[in-house]
Amino acid sequence: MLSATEVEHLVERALAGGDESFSTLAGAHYRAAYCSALAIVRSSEDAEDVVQDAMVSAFTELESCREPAKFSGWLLSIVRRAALMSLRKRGRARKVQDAAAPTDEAAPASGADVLLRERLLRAAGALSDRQAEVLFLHDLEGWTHPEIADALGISEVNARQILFEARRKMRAKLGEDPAGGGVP
Amino acid sequence: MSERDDDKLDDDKLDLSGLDPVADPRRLERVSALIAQLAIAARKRKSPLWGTLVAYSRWAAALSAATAAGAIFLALTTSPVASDLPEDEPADVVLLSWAEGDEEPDVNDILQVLGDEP
Repeated sequence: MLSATEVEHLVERALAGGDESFSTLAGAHYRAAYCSALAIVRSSEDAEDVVQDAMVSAFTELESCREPAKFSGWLLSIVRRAALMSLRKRGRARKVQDAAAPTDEAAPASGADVLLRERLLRAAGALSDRQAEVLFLHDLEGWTHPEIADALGISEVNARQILFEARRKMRAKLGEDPAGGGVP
Repeated sequence: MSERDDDKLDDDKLDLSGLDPVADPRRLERVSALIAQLAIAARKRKSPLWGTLVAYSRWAAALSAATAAGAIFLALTTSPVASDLPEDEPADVVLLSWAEGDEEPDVNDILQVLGDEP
């Protein structure tokens, strides 16, 4: 993850017309944004759609980001809003998709990959949105507790507690999954 | 929570790489480039006039500053227009001198002698 200062400079450069900064900002935040979206929509394909739309909107309205050093938290809040709107719009129940068809041509997934992804998403179904978001940001994206706390507006202690509980639930779910094969 | 607890939390990390949509760095690069391209196009569509103004704002600011400085310089260095009217002469004397002379007074001189009130 880029430091807050690096992010701040990139945002300022982008606002001053430095088009290449948008690509760097997108690359640095794509996975984190995906984590936040996935915690709400619980579908990889929908999460990717949400992230793309939300990031384009955020970059288009970049002037609204009043504190460039806090761009990451600002972006994730936009992604969460977009994910909730997407859920409402599509009228989908908050459940794990039974059949996740690999529709993304750019990232063809093998059968084993799809099964693993489904299994992880099924287990994550036991988590609240916030637990899933903290777990994904920490264990998938690799953010630290201070980074998570700053972006989500919670305390570091709270972030640690949420992560601990999320992992406990995930392990329990993965352990009882008949499609199992053990806890990853 | 102590540092040791933090280390333990990291040791307990779950392998969620199966959920990673951009495990391939080339895919991340492509997706980022696409998002940037769409955003830049949307920003250009949003306000072409504003973009142009921002691009030229520095030049406009410099031009305004130079104009203001020039105006102040002129105001400070140029002496006020000297009146060719004799000072402290009563109005009737001046009017009489105009009547006797061939030169026609201009509006400013008339206002100065008679006052600008109706």
